[in-house]
Amino acid sequence: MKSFSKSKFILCTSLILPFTMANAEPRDQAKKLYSSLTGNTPNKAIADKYEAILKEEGAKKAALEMVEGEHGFYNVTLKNFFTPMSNEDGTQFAELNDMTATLIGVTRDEIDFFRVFYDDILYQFEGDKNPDGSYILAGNNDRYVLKDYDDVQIPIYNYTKNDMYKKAEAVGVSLANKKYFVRTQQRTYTTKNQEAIAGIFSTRAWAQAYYTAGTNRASFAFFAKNFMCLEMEELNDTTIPDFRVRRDVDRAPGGKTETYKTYCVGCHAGQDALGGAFSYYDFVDGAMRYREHDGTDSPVAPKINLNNVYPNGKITESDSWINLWNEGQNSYVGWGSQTSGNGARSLGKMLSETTQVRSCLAKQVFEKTCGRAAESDEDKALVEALAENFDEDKNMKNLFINAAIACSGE
Amino acid sequence: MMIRNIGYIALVFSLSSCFLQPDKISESKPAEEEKIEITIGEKVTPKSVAAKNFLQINNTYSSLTGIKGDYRVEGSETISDRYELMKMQLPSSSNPESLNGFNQIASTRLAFLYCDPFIDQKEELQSLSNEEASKKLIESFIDADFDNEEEHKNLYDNVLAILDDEDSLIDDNNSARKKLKLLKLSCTAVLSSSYVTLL
Repeated sequence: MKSFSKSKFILCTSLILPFTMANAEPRDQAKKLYSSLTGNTPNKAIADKYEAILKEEGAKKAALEMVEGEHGFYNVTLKNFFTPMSNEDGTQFAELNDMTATLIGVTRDEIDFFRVFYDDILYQFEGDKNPDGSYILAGNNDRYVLKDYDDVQIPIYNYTKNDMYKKAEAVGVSLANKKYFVRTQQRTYTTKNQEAIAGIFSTRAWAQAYYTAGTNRASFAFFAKNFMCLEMEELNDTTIPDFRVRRDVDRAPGGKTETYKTYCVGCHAGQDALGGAFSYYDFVDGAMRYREHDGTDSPVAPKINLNNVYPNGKITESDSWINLWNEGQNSYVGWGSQTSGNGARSLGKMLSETTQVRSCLAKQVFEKTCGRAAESDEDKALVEALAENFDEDKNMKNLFINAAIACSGE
Repeated sequence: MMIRNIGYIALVFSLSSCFLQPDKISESKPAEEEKIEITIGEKVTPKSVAAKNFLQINNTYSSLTGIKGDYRVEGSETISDRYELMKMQLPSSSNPESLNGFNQIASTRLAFLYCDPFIDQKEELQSLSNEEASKKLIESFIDADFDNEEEHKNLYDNVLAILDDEDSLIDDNNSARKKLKLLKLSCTAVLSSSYVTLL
C-alpha cells in the first residue's frame, strides 16, 4: 500500500488536528454540529442541552452524544450518504438494503471500515427471543417480532428479496438500536459458498445493482466512482497492454482501429484485468449466484463470454485479476500492495488498502457535513487531514464527527 | 383529520413562503469579493447553507413534533404511508438552488400531517395568550432569540398575525375550534419554513 507520507501527515496534523472549532459561539457551534450530524434542526431545548455539553465536555463529547442519542445520524445522515452507492442511478430514494445496512452498521460499531470491502460481515434485523433463546416468529415462521415497536413484524432475511430491510425502514426501526439491528455473517444469508464472500461485493444489493445482466464490468466501474471518486474516463491509460481485454470489445468500432487504440483500450485494458475477479457472479431471479449457472458446468457466468466480437480477445476462464494500473499514470491512486489474485475477496482486500479510497471518502464526508465542495486551499488541506486521520483509525464515525467539528466553527 | 382542505395548503404555503430567507439562500456561494482571513488551526469556514432532502425533512418534522410515522391519519393510513406517496415531490438534492415550488408545497403538506396531532396533544397551547402561544410554538421548532435576532422577531410577528387572525383566515363561530385551527396553521407555517427545512 502506498500510504500517506509520514512527514506530510505530521505536518498536516500539527496544523489542523485535533479538529477544532474556533471563532464561533458555543451555542452556534452546537447547533451547527447538531444539524450536520443528524440532519435535524435544533429547537431551543436541544440547543440548550448540547451547548451545555459542548461547554463542559468539549465538542467531541457533544458530537458523540448527538450521534448516539439521536435517530438522525444512522437513519438519515448515513442512509443518505451510502444509499446512492448502492444503485447505478445514484438515487437517494432507494430502499435500505443489505449493502447500505452493512455500511451503516460497521460505522455504528466502529469496526475497521475497510473490512467492508472483503470481510464476512452482514448487518440485518432480528426480533425478540423466547426464554430458551429461540426467536419469537410470526406468520409462517418467516417474520421476527419486535416488541419494542408495538410487536411489529419484520420478514426474516430472504436472499431473493429485500423485504426485511424495506419493512424495517418503513416502520422506522432505529439503526442505532443494537438489540434489533445486529451484525451477522453473510454465509447462509447472501450465499452458501464461503468463497463468494467479499464484503459488500457479495451482498444482494450490490449483486442486484452491478451483476444484473451485462458483463459485471459495472462492479469495478461503480466502485471506482463511489469509493475512489474516479470515473473510468479519469483512469483512461492507453499505454497499458491489452492482453486482458475481452472478446466482446470491438477492436475497430465504426471500422476505425485507432478509436480502439486511442480511447477504448485506455479503460478496458485495466478494467477488464481487474474485473476478472467478478466473473463467477451473476444476479438471476432476484438472487445472487456464484459459480452455479444454468446450462453450464463452468464457474464463469455465461454472460461474461457471451458476445464474441473479436475472437482473439481474452476468454475468461477463471476469476483471476491483475492490477495493470499499479504502474504508469494511475499509480498515484496508491493501490494496495497485492498486484494479482483470484476472486472478489482478494481484489476487495487490495482495494481496501488503496489510498484513494480514503481520500475519496473523506472528501465525500466533508461535502456532506459541511454542505460545500472542498475548493479552497484550506478546505483541501482539511480533507487531506481527515483522510490521513481516517487512514490511521479506520473509523467512519470519527470521520463524520471530525469533519462536522471542523466545519462548525463559523 | 381536521385540516385537509386544499385551500389551507395554499394559504399556509403562502405564509410559510414569507419565512423563506432569500438572503440566507444566497449565502450558499461566498461572494467573490469577500475576503476571508484564515489561519489554519483556527479555521474559519465560509458560510454555507444546504437544503434538507426528503428523508431529512420527514425525520426533522417527526423529531421536532414528537409524532412518529406510525401515527394513524385516517383509518389504517399512517403518516409514513402518506409520506411514501409524496416523498418524490419533496427535495431530493441538498442544493438550495434546486428547490422549487412543488418541493415547498410538499413540505407544507407533510408539515400539516405532523402539526395536526401535535397541536391536538399540546392542549396547554390553547389556554395561552396568542403572544405566549406564538413564542412557545416557535421555540418548539427553532432556537429562537426574540430579544436579539431581528429575523426571529419578524417570525414571531408573522405567527402572531396568524393567531390573531388579522387577515380573517377562518370564519368560525366556535372560538375554541377556531384557535385550534389557527394554531395548526401557525404550526405548519413555522415547521415548513426555511428555518426548519434548510440546514
